[in-house]
Amino acid sequence: MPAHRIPSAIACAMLVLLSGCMSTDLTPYQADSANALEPDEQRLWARSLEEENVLDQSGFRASLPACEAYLNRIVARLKPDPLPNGTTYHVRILIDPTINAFALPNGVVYVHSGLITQLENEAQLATVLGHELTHTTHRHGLKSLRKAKNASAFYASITVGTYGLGAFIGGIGATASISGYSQDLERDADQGGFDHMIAAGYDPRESVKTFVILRDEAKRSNIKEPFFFGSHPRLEERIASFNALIQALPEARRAGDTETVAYNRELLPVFKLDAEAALQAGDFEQVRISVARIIAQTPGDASARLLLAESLRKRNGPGDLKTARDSLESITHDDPSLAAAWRELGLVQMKSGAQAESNRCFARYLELSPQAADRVYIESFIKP
Amino acid sequence: MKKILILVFSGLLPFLGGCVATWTQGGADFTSSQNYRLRMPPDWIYHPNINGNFIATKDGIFLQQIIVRKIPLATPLENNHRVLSASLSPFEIAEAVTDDLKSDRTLLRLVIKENLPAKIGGVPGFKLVFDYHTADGMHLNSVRYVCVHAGYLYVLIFTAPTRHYFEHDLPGYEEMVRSFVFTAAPKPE
Repeated sequence: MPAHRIPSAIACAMLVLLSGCMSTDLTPYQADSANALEPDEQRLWARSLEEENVLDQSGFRASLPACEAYLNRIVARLKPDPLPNGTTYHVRILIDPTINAFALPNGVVYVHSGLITQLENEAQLATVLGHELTHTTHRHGLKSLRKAKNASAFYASITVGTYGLGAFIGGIGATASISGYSQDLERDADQGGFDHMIAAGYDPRESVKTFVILRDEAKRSNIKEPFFFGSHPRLEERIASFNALIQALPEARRAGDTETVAYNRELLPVFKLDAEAALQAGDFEQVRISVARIIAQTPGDASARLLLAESLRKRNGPGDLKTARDSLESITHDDPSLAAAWRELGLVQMKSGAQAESNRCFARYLELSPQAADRVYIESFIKP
Repeated sequence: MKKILILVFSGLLPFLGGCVATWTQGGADFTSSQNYRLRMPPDWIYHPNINGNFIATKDGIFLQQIIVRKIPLATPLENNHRVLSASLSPFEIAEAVTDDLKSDRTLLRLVIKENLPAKIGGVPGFKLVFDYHTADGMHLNSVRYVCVHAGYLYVLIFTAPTRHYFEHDLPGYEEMVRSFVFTAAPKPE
């Protein structure tokens, strides 16, 4: 190390050591206190805002204001403690068939469409939202950031390798926001979420069901480290701990609202977008689940049945083409003006070797949709 | 301007990294051990093998890049994990590949602009044109010619920033695609 850099290196190390004294024993945001953001917390919120902007402009955020308003009403019912500076909570939906949810430290919660589709009712989603809101109100992002800073300060004090630390802190802030917290903080969030859920009048038994659903889905999807509910602690452990929390309640408080009807009605558009996303992601089982949710609400929904038929054609397992063909013939019978159904039926017929039938379907498709973007493909499929 | 400078310096890195000797000026036929032959325009340079792929550029790989990939057909696609097979038509493979792109969380605001049948070295395949943004705000355009040949998926990719470079360097890529021929039927690995 050049001699002229030694004093600055020592100064940097001292600064880090001083910053290492920052407390991780933080008071949750309180309703009756005017919490001012601490300097490093302000930076964390600024990073959160940047993250939020990227997510919101990613093309993956659902443009479903009515659905998001419904989720925000659930948050209001949970009555989380107010955020500093009059900041309000916002829940946003990401079109992603994987099961996940995460909160940024500034009170913005993102929920994946896959999670919404897997859950059965409002009480179960309230379990998730309560958990995520607790991460925010208990300042888990800041705690994680400071813990990481303290650890790196200790490391720096013995190596005097402080260059570039500023950039490292920024990275930790973002990571803590979206990639999960320590086991203790996850437990804290479980407890906090559970308390809010009970206070809001939701059925506490649904909290256990939430984790059972997530455990089963993690097994089905072969997810090793799902980061909302992953290994902090393991799902089985969390199911046991939620059961214990319920057992500790007085008998009269072990029941409550599920709001299943409202959930299915209000979030129907999310199920539809999720089915499309699952189809693109090649998760044909998730398509089936999403479509089942839609059909339960709107029996005979042609667009949902069409998505299912398309997923069957793409999966092409035993019997899939026949099931798809039967469904598509029914759809085109019910609504002969549905161009996309004729196209899909043509593709299924072609794959089944029924050339004459596929020709007829494709001709009908092009008649109904003369400006189709895939016209060149479809015309090449029509053969004598 | 700052972004462009970062791109320029990033693009120069491969040249500064001791790889200079292995980069070759275009203008003559290049025969790959991956069973194809192509010709880059004279103002492009290429490297025959970076991580198993043919790479070409004019001003640095972050300003414009061509990648030719040969992928065993049984390799699942990166994002939707679909496994392709030789029994699938080019149309079905195009469906799977576009679905895979749409499932890629690094391609923000992806728009598929074109998906048309095309021939690559005389083999039926398809051409995709799309644009997207990166998390740090870059707006990129990309073209892919894709076909299945002798048990492999061949992908000829061109990517460049929408601003200035894409339109400017697209003709060089199209010229390369027209020159592309398969040299022999490779044995599936």
